[in-house]
Amino acid sequence: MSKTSWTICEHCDAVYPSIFLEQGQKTYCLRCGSVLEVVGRLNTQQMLALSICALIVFCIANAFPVMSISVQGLSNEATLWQSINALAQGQISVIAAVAGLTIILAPLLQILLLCWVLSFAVAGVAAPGFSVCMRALEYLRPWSMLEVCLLGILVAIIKLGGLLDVHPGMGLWALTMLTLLIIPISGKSIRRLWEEFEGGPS
Amino acid sequence: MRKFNNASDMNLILCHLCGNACVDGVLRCPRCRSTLHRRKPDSLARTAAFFMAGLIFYIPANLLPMMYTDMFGSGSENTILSGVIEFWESGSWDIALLIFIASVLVPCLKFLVLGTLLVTCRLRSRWAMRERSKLYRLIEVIGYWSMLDVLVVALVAALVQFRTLSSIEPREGILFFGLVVVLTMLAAMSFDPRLIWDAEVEHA
Amino acid sequence: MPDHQRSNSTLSSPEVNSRRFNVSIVWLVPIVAGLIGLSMVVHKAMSAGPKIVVTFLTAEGLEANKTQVKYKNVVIGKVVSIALSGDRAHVDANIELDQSADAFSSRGTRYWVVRPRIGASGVSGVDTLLSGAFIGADPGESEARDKTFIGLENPPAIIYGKKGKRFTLHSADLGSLDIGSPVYYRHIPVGQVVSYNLAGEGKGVDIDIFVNTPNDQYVRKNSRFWNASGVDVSLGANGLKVNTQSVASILAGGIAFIEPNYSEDKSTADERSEFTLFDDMDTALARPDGPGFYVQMRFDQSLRGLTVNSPVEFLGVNVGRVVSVDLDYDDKEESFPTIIGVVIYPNRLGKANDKLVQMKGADDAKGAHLIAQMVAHGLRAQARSANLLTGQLYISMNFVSNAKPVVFDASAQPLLIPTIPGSLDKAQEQLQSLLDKLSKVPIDQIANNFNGSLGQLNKTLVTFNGQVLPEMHETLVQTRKTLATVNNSLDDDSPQRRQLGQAMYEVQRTARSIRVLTDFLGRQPESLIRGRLKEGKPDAYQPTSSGSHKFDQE
Repeated sequence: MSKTSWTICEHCDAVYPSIFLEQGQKTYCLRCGSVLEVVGRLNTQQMLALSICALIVFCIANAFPVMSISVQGLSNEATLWQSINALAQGQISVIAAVAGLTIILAPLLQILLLCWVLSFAVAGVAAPGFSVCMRALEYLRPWSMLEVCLLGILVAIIKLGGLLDVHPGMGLWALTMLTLLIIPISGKSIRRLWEEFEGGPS
Repeated sequence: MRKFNNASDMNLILCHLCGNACVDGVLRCPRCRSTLHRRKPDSLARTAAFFMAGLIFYIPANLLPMMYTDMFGSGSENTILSGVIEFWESGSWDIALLIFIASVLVPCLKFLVLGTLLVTCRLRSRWAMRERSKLYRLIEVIGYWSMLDVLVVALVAALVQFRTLSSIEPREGILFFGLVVVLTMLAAMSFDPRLIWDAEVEHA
Repeated sequence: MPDHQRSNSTLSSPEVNSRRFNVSIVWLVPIVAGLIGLSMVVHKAMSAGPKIVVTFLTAEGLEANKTQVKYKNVVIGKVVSIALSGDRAHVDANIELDQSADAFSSRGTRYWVVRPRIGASGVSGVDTLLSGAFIGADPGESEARDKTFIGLENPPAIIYGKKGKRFTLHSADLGSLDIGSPVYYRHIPVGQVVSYNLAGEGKGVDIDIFVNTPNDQYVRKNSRFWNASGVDVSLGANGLKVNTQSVASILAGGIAFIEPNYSEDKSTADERSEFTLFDDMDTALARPDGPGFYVQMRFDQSLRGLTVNSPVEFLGVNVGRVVSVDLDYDDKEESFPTIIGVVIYPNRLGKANDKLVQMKGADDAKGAHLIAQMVAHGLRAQARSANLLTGQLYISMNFVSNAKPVVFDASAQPLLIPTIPGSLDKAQEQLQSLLDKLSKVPIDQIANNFNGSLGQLNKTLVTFNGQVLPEMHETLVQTRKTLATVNNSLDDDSPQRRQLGQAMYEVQRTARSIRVLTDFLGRQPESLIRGRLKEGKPDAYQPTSSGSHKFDQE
């Protein structure tokens, strides 16, 4: 780059000259202490692999029940979708929409968009609708709450475990894997794609 | 106090979407074509609006019952606090603590911090700016954990559906609580933390 | 992302590895995940068994994706979806059976919904109240496979391949029996009613029963079946008898059977043998009665309590029964004697009959001759009370020692057995005499005297009440008034006290003024004559001595 590039802290608007970072390095703002830049440990190809894996695991996590309970010979089990449905009764359906967004829709869109963008990025081109996808990813990031979902399932297991027989299902293991996979790929490290396809088709 | 270069001094604007430092005066970021704003538009007004709405909804969220439990014939409606107390008294204090933290402590903390931030930024105070910045980052991180209660109710209601033996149904309290979480998240997202440091900028 | 390269001018630039496919090892992760997912999908597809559709009339108790199909309490399938049939007359339940349950898609398999049911065989399926209904199945025998089945609305009577024998019973009517009514042998349930239908031309009912192995060996060729429904309460000449098989039979009816002990045949009955269903145990186990012998008796007294089927006894042995009770009109005596028709079964005499038949032969004329001989010896019929409580009568034929000789016509058709009055009449006489004695007691006079005394007492009381009491009452009232008045007078603020107080006060003042006067006079005695001077007013005095201080102060 011919001109000096700057890095601006998004929390306090302080300006720093950009420095090159290795993988796994972080920079902090001197004034407010927030993280300026993080370079993830994964390259594009690895991220794509993890995204595809996340997609498969997402399908498993939603197809199989996360938990099953049994009492006196009666049993019941629930997938994530069925849990959302249980909230969708009458007046409180809005909250079902919100919960569905956070634990099913947002993660799914994130994974799909990531797969889409990264698969083209590995090939070295900008995906069609690149900036739209990237923008959507930025907006979706705060609304994907899979860790909360995981903790919620654990709380539910403990809560019901005292009264009934509780068996964690296949969906729970898949959800755990999914959470572990999504953390590295849905962070801000995707932003480096902007640099690669600077000024690409919008 | 070391001197920091501010973006406004150097005529630079941070693009919120791609992190690019763009030259001031351009309408759109050259990299991602998103509209550039020096500060988040109407930050204090929007934050205050979401904050007030969240505060108003927090009252019915705590007063109205969250779910209706019918276990082996005896039915009872539970609010957040009564659920916590029930867990505490039945011996599982760890769950009680967790739910208390997630459903009571975190939202109250968010209200407190957001309120403080709103007031101090409106007053252009220079008090404890670094700490305030840290507080903001804190509530950004922990904000969404309050959804825990909503998801627990959803899961439990979906599972315990034995018509005659026992059943659990969600009630209106959960709607309000979920809205509180969403509204406080929106409030935190609308707040521009750079406003904290604007006081210093203006005074400098 | 291009690797960072350090280029140093002293070294030759390293070879750039520009292989197109730089596959990193992390690709193993999605591959493994994909394999796991695929294997689970395949596993699910493979373990899917046959899909069938069962039609029911109603989907009550059935839930899509939840209701299970069970055989011997093992889950063999699940209802996947429920839909109305095209003509909206039935409900189609799509069921996915397990792989191991392939036999249940064979033709002839029966499906029914198990719901809580109170039926002939008791309450069944109660656990479905908690768990929701499930579908029971009974696999068919055929080799062919079907895809659609028609579900039964009620559980079939025989399921799970039970072994046993079927029999048919004939009865006049069904009574309280139903499908599922139990069949008992010595009070143990050994089978149940499977089905029933009207016999040909509707003249009776054919009841099919099923007796389980190994108890079906007890159904012998000579077994007697009777309807053991409900509570058998018989109020007969022998008294009250309560007989029941079980609570279930009270509710649901039941059939019992046993082999009579006078018959030695031990061979078991064949499958689908036919039997008669008797109405009660006694009728069922009664020996075959053999031919009946009709005779008549004539009684001159009222035979209230003698009904058709009342027993007829000879020397204590039940030999027959009453078949008709009629009134006749005797013109000569202008009375209404009662004519009783009786059927006697000689076979019931047992050994006696056998011997008599041996000695005398077995035809009617000989029998009539025999009876004539017995009448000559004193054989008389008598109506006796079987039960004082209910007043039931029975006919007893006995040899009476000093009976009046009667004319007996041995050739009359039917024979007329002579009768004597019953022992009940004597008891009636005694009762009558007792009543006569009782009527001689002069109850009227006693009653009158008693009445007079009571009247006097009444008068006295009236006087007492009318005069003495009111006076006493008035006295009491007066006393109370007086006391009240006294109370008032002595009260603190009563006028009398006040007046008294005022009087005292006046006296005090008078005393004081007199004292003043005497003091004044003591000082100015001339005032008596001269009168009071102006300066002499007591209150105008200037205090000159300590004594006059007291004046001013007063």
